[in-house]
Amino acid sequence: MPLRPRRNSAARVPSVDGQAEAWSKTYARSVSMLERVAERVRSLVIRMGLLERSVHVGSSLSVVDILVAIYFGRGLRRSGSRPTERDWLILSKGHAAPALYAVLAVAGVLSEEALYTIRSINGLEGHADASVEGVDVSTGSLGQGLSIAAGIAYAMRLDGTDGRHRVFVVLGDGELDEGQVWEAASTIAHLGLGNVVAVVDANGYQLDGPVDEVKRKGDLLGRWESLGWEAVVVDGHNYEGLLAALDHADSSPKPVVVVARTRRGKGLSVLEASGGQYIGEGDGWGS
Amino acid sequence: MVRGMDGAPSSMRDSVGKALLRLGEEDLDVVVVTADVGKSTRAYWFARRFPERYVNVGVAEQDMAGFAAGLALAGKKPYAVSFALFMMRAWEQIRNTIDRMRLNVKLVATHSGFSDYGDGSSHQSLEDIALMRVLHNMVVVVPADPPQAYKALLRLHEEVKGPAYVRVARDYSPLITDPEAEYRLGRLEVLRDGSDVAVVSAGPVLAQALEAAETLEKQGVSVAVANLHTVKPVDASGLVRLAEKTGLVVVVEEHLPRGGIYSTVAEVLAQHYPAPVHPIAAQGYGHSARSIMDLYARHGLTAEQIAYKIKTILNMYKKA
Repeated sequence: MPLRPRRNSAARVPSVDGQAEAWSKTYARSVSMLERVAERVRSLVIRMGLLERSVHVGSSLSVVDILVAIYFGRGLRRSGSRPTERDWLILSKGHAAPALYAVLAVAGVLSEEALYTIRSINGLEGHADASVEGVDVSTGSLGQGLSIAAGIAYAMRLDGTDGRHRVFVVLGDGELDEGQVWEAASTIAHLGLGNVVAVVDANGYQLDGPVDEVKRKGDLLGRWESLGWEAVVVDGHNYEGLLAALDHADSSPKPVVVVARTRRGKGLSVLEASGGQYIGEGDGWGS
Repeated sequence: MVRGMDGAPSSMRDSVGKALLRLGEEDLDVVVVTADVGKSTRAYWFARRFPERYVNVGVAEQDMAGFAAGLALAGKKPYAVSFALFMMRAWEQIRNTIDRMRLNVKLVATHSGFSDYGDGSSHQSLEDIALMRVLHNMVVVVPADPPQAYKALLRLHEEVKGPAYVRVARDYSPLITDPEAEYRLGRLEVLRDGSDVAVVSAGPVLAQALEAAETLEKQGVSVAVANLHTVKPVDASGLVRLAEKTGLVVVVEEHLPRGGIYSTVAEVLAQHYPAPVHPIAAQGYGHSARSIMDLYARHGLTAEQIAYKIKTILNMYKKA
């Protein structure tokens, strides 16, 4: 079930969707480039899913455009050799590692052959693993990325680099069940860590089913806003919107959460239709 | 030789406060994170001196663990300070984020064992050594007394670049070690020689074991007492030497007898020098009490009870 937009969301949320026209002019060329990159990333993810059936294909496909927008659209920047002199990307929904690995392969950090070793004994970990070149933080257990981001962002403040570097955290909407997410969201707002950017891949599903059937998630924007975050909602498969939101986050003094409405299995019609996770899904296969 | 009882000025948590202040002065990368127990743990002393390098995340131990992990990833040297039991609430974060990436996070756990006697069983951690010791990369240190707690924190900062768990008590901290002695991380510290039986212990309850050994000495039983302050990595050869000399080992610990120091000693000896090992440990959950001695008495951990138990064990072997 896709995320239900709030009735008055257009009025209250900085209208990035509304700026689409302006943005399409600015990003016209890069958007078509990003869409081609995303297509390539998706094909790599699907190949991984065909090779190894326990790969979380549905969740990986929903997050592809978010990762491509951050990695290739906005870009991760480096200004020095210290760990606080660069941008960080934490895939808190670590089960979407295939999408991150595929992005890294397209970026030339990983080889395509390496992708096909996923979930094999000498190959890539099934969940995002920092031992893999280009992966910043090991994840896989949900709910932990935002706290880690807070620590990194605070270190940047201590080193005086928080003005020029951001920590991006990509979460799932099912992941929002984890209490630690809200512990961290409070900490980040309280400390005023405006260089943290959270992106929620709101694909509407979690392991056992549609997110609101498993457990109601409430007002996805209001929950963050009440703590002191700025919340924006975008179409998570639209680059104008995603780039505008990331651009906005870059200039906002507040921590920003981008709720990106996505489709699980985006780009693979059979999964898009079913909302399923695995290619050739059987009961309980995978996790 | 046993002094510094309840309410005495020098406690292990005061040692934590002092050690953090010193580390904060010497190393600008030291950052202290706590979860709304800054005052109780003395972490707050650091805050008054270095407010910008101190973060209180509120009552949120899981967030504290993750925050500390982030600091370490970004090149800082974080100290996460909380009550031992509540730090265990973040066990999975410690396991999956801190230990798995072998991050340089120091977990300083106060109010361990029965030391938070007044607050009762909800606050008394009798499982934490087991939970931390099982982690692959974690170093586990249980200092005996305030001077050792202070020195252990400084040595760990110097010598260990990965995760470490330091278990200290609240207030009851009798002086057990020589305050002037050099602290050697990872080395079993023999506090007293003996030939009939060896007692291995750690933390403040060591004082009870030492007193029991003195009592037994007067009755003609020669008891060695050793301080296993570094539980992991364990000094296997030190334990084997003890067992070789006495042929019988008793472990006294302020922890349940599964997974803690008793298990550590039994695991080492089973593999390298099979000798009988008996536990004298907590017998279940604690309870609120007016003094730690009431809890020790309830669980058979007073000097008198330890001496009696050791004699019973020795008699068992004489008959056989």
